[in-house]
Formats: sequence, C-alpha cells, structure tokens
Amino acid sequence: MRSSADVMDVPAARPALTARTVAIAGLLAGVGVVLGLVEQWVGLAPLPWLRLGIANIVVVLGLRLLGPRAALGISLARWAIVGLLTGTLAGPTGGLALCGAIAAWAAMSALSLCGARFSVVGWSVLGAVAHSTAQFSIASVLAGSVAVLTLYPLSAAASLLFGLATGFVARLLLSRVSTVTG
Amino acid sequence: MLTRGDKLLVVGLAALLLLSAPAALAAARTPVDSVVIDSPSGRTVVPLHRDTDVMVDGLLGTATVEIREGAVRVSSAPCPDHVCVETGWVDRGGRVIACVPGGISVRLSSSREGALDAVVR
Repeated sequence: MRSSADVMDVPAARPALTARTVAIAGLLAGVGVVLGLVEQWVGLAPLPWLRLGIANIVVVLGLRLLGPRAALGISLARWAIVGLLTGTLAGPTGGLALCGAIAAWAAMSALSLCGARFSVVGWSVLGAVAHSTAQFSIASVLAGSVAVLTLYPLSAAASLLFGLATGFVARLLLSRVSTVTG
Repeated sequence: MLTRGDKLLVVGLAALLLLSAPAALAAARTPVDSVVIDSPSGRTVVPLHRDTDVMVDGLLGTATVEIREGAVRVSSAPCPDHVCVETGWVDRGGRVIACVPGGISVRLSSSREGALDAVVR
C-alpha cells in the first residue's frame, strides 16, 4: 500500500499530444460520460440540489496522468456528450453544467501546479467546492435573486464531503492504473 | 496519505462554510407571512394564508405555484429536470424553491421585508 502511494506521487504529466495521450483521454472521457449518466439516475430525491460529483473522478485522473490541457479536453468532451444524451446541452442547465465544469477544472489545475503540496484528494475537494460555488453564483444571476444562495452552505458542505470521498476513490484508482499507463 | 496542504485546504473550506451557516439559520427562524415569486416578468408577492394557484411565466414556459395551508410548492414546471417540483413543500423562511432553467425562484418572507429587524454589530 505504502509503495503504490509513493509510485503515484511521481509526476506523470507529458505535454506532447501522443497517441497514448489521446487514447487515455478518450478512455477517461468515455468513463466520465457513463458516470455522469449514472449520477443523473442516482439523484438524491429529497435534496435535489445535491450531486455526488463522481464524474469529476475522470478529470482528476486526467489531470494527474496527462496534465491540465488534456484534463480540460476530457471535461469539455464529457460535458458535451452528457448534454447531448440528456437533451440539456443548449439550455440553461447545460450552461450551468459548463460553468461548474470549467470552475472545477480551473481550481484543480491551479492546485496541480503547486507540485507535491497537495494530493489528488485536495484537488478533488477544491474542485467539488468550486463546482457548486460557480453553479450557485450563476444560478443566482439566472434566477434574478440572491435568495437561491440560502441553499449554498448546505450544498457546498455536501460537495466538500463528496469531494473527499471521490478524491480517495481517484487515489485508489491511480494506484492501480499506474502500471497500465506507465 | 493526505498532505499538509490537503488538510489545511479542507479545514479552511469547512471554516468558511461554517461562517456562512448562521445566516442561513437566522433566515429559517424568521416568521413568514408572504410568498415572493421572482421571475423574468418581475416580482409577485402573494399572502401565504390564502390558498391559491399562481401561474408564473418563466424563460421556458408557465410554471404553477401552489399555496396550501401556509406552505408553498411548485406543482408543475416546464423545465426538463424538475428540481423545483421535487423540492416539494416549503413552509419556513430561508428555504428557496428555484427553477433555474426557467429563471423562477419562490421563497417565503415577512411582509415587513426591507425594514430592518435588528442591527447586530
């Protein structure tokens, strides 16, 4: 366990757009689409504002394995395909999803540039909170009322916990895939 | 395991969120007597004690806001995800029903809104 965690902390980012990069990014985007769809079905009925954010795992993995640029590509591809499949791409829901995705990517990329000071769990937590923060900001503008923001503390606290959980899942997955992608 | 940076990040974010929690709690304790509906066509204020249905025009079409026995809900909406309908009945202050795609939000408030209840320094 200890040794696999050590292997994981070696930076694996390669900037060049090789076939390997494209293949791994496409794989992650595909998994992200499936996770995004599963997440829509799982929707926690009594609290519709809560989202698990499990699809963010693939962006964390992409960031770790391929770097910020590829992670952005994965995130945008995921957003576009899930939007097409659920019919929400062109509407306000799609716009909200896009803002959340970009905010999460930006926050996590910034942390990833800080080197070893933060692990993937930290990236995931900040990404999740940035996602809900961006969505509530946009939502309050769209709804023309700051009243929407009263739900924000609850939603952000939940995304903090879910971000921790998905971060640990991402870490576990990374310790397994490093042998495949290395 | 978690790095020092991770721990600081989690603790810092949690502290920020805890700071915003009292505002939400205070809103929940405020006595309410009216329903405020914000939509792209403007703001409508309806008394909470009168049972009625209000039609609201949003960005995607018309939504129905239902008021029954001091509680309010969105009973139908044209949006695809129906988050607003699934939110269900709301009967306390500080809770919001929002149909974000339709640009509609519904909340409970006191008719003395705008006047200051208290100033805390």
